[in-house]
Amino acid sequence: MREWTISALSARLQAGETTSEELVRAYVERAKNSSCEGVYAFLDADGAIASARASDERRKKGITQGELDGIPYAVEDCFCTKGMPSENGCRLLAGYRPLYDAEIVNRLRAEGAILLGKLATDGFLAGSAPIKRVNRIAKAVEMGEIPFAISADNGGSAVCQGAGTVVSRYSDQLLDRSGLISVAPSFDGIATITQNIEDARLLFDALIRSANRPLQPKEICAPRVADLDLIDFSLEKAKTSYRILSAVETASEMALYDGIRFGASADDSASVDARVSKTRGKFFSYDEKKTVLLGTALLMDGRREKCYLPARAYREEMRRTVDALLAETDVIRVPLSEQTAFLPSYLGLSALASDGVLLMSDSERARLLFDAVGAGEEGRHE
Amino acid sequence: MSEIEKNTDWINRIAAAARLSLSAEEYERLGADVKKELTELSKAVFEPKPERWEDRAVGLDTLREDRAGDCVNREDLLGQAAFHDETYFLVPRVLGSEGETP
Repeated sequence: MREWTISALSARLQAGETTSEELVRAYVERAKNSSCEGVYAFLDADGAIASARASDERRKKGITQGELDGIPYAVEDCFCTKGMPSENGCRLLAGYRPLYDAEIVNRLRAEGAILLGKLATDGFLAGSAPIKRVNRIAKAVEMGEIPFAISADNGGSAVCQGAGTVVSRYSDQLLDRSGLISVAPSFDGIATITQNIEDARLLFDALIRSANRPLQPKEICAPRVADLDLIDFSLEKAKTSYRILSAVETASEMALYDGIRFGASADDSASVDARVSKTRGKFFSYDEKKTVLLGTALLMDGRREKCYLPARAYREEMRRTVDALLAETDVIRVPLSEQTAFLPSYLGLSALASDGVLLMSDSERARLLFDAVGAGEEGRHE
Repeated sequence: MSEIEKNTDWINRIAAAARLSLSAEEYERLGADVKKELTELSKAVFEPKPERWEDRAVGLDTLREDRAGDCVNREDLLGQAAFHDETYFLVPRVLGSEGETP
């Protein structure tokens, strides 16, 4: 599938071997005959073709906006896209068309990338069922049906489970997540899903450039390898902590969905409370209701003190330990999770997708790592 | 009070706090599912004690810089709601006698 990578497509566009419009039409055709059933929630063929024509016009005039100019991509349906359905897999948001674009969509537009459409997502199910959506998207990228995808990462769900691809999870400090329909805010982040390291690096550079955050010049040094110390963490407790915190935060986030200012609404109630309750009862799925009830129950009847606060303290302990480690070393490698994931908000890279996830604290180290791992990858391909 | 009545009463309180109306069948199924999960989660014993550290709420302690942008058009904003007139979102009467329409 190397001929369908971002870098290969960009090279073909630059060489005049194809046009962005031809690429978009090819990917739209692929989407319609996709072997990855249900990967798209919404395909904006007309909008994508119009944007591609504009990109081709720019290229004719010699004013391309970068290596992503004219390259198609797709975002998960949990990112707001102006005038385009953004339903996050939730019936209450059926037909919802935001009035603004998510920041990541704005940034990619500034780079000239072409939005093909929205990728189906599982909605407000943090901690319970992230595997299907990430696997579905990763498979579509791996099969070359989308050059690259933008996904939400809820506590590591994308970076841990996008096997077969390279998933890069960006920290909040590096990439603004405004416009991402939040599930559990302290776990949410943005992830890019690409076919290989070269594409991940290319996308990383483009996003950092468009964020107007040039990397600080720094003496380039070889990555250090620290002495290996075993860190005593209970993954079982980490997972439990994740389940508790994500359920509480999701229930809290979902309080926004009351049918008053946007979305579907029940219409036969005599009081505000009754209308809100009926709306949520009518349009939330069984699993969404379960998450809301669980998150609410975890703050009632003494469980706030028994479960929620200790889980927060445990996460804080993990965070401090990881912070201390990243102060001493450049990269930490953590194992992949087959089930629920638990990662603090660091920059994560599934550079060796079948083996583990690499955590680092800043973009400087990420760039070094891209170079180091990318060189290894080139070696493997050759 | 029977076991089923106890369960229903228990999930009823949580559903009311969560502003969620449930069908009779959902009360029973969700009550059992949520109780099972709560029991499992409640078994976890975390160290250290929560009073030791204040959670910094990872990722939430950094505010974005303010940036001037386009204002959202009122008409467009109201158009997102299921019930609205030219100026306001419409909701059932908050004060006054129940049953009156807005």
